Amino acid sequence: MRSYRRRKAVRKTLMWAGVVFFVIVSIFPLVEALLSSLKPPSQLFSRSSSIFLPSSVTLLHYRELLGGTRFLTYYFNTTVVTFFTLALVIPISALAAYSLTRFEFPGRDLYRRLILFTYMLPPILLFLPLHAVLTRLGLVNSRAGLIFAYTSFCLPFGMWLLRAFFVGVPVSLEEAAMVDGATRLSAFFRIVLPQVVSGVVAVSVFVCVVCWNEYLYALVLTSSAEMKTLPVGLATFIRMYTIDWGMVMASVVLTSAPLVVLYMFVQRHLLKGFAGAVKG
Amino acid sequence: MAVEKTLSRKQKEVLYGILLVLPSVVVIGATAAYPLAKGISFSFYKLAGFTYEGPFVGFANYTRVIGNSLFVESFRNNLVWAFGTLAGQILVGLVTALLLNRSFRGRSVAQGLILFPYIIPGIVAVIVWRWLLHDQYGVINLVLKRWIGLEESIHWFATPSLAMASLILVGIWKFFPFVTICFLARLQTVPPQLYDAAKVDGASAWKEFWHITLPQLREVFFVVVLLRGIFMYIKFDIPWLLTGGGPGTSTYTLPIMSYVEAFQQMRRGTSAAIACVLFVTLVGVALVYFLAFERREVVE
Repeated sequence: MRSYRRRKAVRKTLMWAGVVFFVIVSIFPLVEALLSSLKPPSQLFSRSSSIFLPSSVTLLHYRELLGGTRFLTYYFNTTVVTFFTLALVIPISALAAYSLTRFEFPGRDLYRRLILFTYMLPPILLFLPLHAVLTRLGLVNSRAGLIFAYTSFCLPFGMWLLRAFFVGVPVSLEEAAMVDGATRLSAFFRIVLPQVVSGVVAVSVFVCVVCWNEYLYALVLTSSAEMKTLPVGLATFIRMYTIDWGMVMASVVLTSAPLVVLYMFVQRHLLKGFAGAVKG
Repeated sequence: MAVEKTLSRKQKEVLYGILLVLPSVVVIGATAAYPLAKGISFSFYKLAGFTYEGPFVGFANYTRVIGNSLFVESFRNNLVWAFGTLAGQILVGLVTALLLNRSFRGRSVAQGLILFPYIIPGIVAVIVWRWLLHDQYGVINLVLKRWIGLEESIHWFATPSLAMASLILVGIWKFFPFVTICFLARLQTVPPQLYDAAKVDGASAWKEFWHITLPQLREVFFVVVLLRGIFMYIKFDIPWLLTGGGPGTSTYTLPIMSYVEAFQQMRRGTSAAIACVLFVTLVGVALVYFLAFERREVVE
């Protein structure tokens, strides 16, 4: 009995050690970035006293970032591109996903399979032709061009994920509403849509994260500093001959902050959406 | 009369269905299907400089690319990168999922924190790791020197034999949480009764894991390997931003080569051919994998 209890205690200790280890591995790099962004330059480059903690806190790097670089322009561009991609993807994918689960029409199943295929298309296969198409349309080096490019994979993903959610809503719900005199459209908005809020949240989060992250298309499709997005802008910071690490760390913190906040708010929805996607 | 009415109602349903799907068809056609067709056709043309025009050359781009020694090396690096990061992600993802599947205080906080690497942008991961592994000022070198007594700084990204390993480590760090979530979602649906029987039999933790937990994870394992394998194989941003393919060509991958051909060497037909080779090999491996898995299912 005693050995059993001791074995249990050992297992428990091991489990805690494992959890603590992986939590530290996951967050330490970001914590280090935050701490570095607050350190005075002298401490950043000679860590004689403390390796990790700042000896004094300074906002110097943030002032430098906001005043001396185009960081706010990058921020603005990323926000605009994210917003309009969302505005395009959510309604179109919701209507299409609804149609795919409720109506019978020729080619439906083929189309459903093609959507998954489209989502899986590697960006490395599309960056060149997208550049060609957008050059012809005169949309290279514009935010509209980026929205166009991001829709190419956000839309299939949205349709695919939302379909899994619409399948889970019983048809009898809307039929009951329509018997009571509601039109198909009002049944859709009042009865069905509220049932798939988790799915819409999951797709929105996906679109936000992807637009905030995307590098290859933004690299290829923007050329002037006025049109660059955060990932491309930040990449120019580390391509310089001498890298201002304090300022770069400040940019890292401000770029990650909205995603971290968003993630904390929607964590529960997101995991549900994730589980739905894995099952579907 | 009644028949006519139901018929027209059915037709109306078809029409309604198509109408709702139509916007998505138009948008996907313009943003994905047409560019895809264009991209494939580019690979058969010799495109001059900055333009997208030039003569048809058949498979010349392909034969030139495949005979190129840089292509062969990139292909090998691509496989090392994809398999290395995939294996690491699966391993770390499995361990973390098993840990998070136990009940303890603060479990949801730990789960939230472990997912952090996945939600931050790739460029952020790259910058942060370049800072951590910086040869002069990086914390990791400092700690190794101060606490372990290392004499010389390790040049993580500048040593040809180390660069790929460093790259893979960052790749694992960035992407393992996706695997954690997939495994965890599945683990939480395993019926607890399965374990009760094992407890009665006095099975060891290892036996429990091997005979109960692992078989339950098989399907999700199949999907995760496929999805993550594809994703890592085509990854551009992390290798490009972290090492740029260097030092020398020790971390040069096919996506990097395709990009450099198109926008630095100005050989866009060749770039398209590399992308197509990448895609064809990807689909080929995915198909083989799919068939092998299905056959095993039938045998058992």
